[in-house]
Amino acid sequence: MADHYDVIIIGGGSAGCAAASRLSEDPGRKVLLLEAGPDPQPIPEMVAEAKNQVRLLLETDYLAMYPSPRDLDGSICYKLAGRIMGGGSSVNVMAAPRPMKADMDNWVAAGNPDWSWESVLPVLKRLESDQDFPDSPLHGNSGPLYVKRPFTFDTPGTADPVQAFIEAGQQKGLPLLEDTNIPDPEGVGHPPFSIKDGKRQSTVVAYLDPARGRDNLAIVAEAQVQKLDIEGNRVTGVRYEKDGRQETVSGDQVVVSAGVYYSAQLLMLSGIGRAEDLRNVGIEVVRDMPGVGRNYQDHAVVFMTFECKEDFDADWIIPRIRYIYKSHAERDCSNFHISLRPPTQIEGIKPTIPLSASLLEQMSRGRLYLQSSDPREFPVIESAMLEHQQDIESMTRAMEFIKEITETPPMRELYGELLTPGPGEDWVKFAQATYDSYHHGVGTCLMGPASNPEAVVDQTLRVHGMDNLWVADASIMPTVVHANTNVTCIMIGERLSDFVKQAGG
Amino acid sequence: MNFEGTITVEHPRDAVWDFVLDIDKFSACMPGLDSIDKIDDTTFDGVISAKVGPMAGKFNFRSTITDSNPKEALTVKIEGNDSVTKSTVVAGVDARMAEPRENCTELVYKAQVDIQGRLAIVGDMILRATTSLILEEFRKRLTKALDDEAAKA
Repeated sequence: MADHYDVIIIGGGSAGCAAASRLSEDPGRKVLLLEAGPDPQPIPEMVAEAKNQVRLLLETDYLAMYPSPRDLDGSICYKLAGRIMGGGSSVNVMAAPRPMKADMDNWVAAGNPDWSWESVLPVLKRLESDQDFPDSPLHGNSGPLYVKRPFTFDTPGTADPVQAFIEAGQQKGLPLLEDTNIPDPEGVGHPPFSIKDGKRQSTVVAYLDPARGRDNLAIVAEAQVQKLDIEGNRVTGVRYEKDGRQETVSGDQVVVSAGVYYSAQLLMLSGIGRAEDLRNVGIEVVRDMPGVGRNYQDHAVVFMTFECKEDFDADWIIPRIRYIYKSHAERDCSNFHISLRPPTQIEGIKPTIPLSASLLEQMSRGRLYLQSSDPREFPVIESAMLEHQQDIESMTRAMEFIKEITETPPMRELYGELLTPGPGEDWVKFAQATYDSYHHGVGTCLMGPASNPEAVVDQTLRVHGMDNLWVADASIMPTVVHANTNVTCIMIGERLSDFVKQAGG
Repeated sequence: MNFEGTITVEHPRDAVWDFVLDIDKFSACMPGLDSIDKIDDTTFDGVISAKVGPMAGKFNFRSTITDSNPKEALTVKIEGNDSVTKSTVVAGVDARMAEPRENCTELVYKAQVDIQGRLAIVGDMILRATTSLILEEFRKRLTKALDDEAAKA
């Protein structure tokens, strides 16, 4: 293997695989893709078969679980990250919603004018092959990512609770949305998925597999990058461990695409971060960048669990229908996914059935920081979720809405008494003590202008003050998008490839 | 994950204490048990079956009374694992008994439950909701069993 490349991409996730594929389209550009997880070929059934998604989460080793304490009581909430080629796209629920227009407005407002809706729409179109709206000016029909809405509002055999949920939404005034990948969706939607003939369309399938045969693309899996060597404004080496050996490679351009947690961690391990935090764990400060690890955001999910009145078919683990719900008229856009969840049955007690409210924004900001200079040790993640008054108001309103939904005629046939939160329980405390993660962490390498002291990368994704270091993944998002994050991450990977090319890389 | 609450039964504290210390009687009040094996006076092994959506699994556990102050307080440790994710669950339960008035016992409990492993991804919310139902069912069965015992006496 050559030890020098034109571009080294650290992390083969949703953004990294897209970037590696695009950048290696030019046979004259030598690209190295390093992935910490395995790259099993053929893709194991547990990953490849869409129907195995829950078993994949519960039974395989392809995930990292990052613990994060809830502020209210110190109980632990886990944040998941894919640890396999394809990253999140190899372990996620395969939902393929786009960011909303309001998200891009937010990114522009954060000082990134080149990320307007008008700027990103061509990229959102080029990355997809939309099976349902191929001729729409909003959609692409020849991109690598297969996108299809596998369910309709009248899919035969749809379970009773799904039909009841659709009808209840309409009774509460929500319109039916045939396409949720529009700039400002609000209503009852059947979301698009990246599932083709029952198979997961990860970025391995969509981007990497078609590029594997290229002579100019080297792929090294199970390679844990531990540190970047930095001299002046340049990364001069990438150090990684593979099969117990220490390796070093160099590249003209180095792209960190290791996900919201490890991208920030790797920068810090390399001496790029808040100086005080680095010194606390004995890391020599190369560049004092106070924003690394800050600006952390995620989506909080709160479950409300009801007595389940009927024994019914629960074959809807992958939620077919969701409400895209706006909790307050004055919000910029819809700010919740409200979803059905499967029932639990234990002999001797009544079955229970939850509905969940996923808050698609976070007004407060969390942070992550290192506990040690050991790359294998998880950073501390302070989520700061459900702390801001607006987030609390949004969540409690959505919880009230869920309660109202279950009291509509179609739903009350199936959903009985509210069990948790229990009678008289404080809903705010309940939400703060029980929220889970929707696993859409973002923001730890904030994209913004140099005038923002917390900005880590500029709007071309290059690290401020560095000549050849880039970050491309969920970590650069100034604000978490009001959507599952996979498509946005792929878009970021696509744009990274454009920016590196434009820079002559 | 923390739980706390109070179960009130209209029976004297002595009777309630003797009842919950009898593993056969106590376990008969616990819903969802597939099987129960008494190991000794302070330890029993149990199996609970649960179905979450289309997935079914079993939870095997050992429950041990680790400390007791007769008629006042009891500490129980529960350790187990599930058959699907092989995750481990460790729970510590502190229960205190009071007799606020004659023939009335308050059982005040505090439990801390820690899940190690993948079950933590989905187990939290399931545990929270089902625990409230299990405790309610336990309270009903306990009350009925104590009523029956009192009627026989």
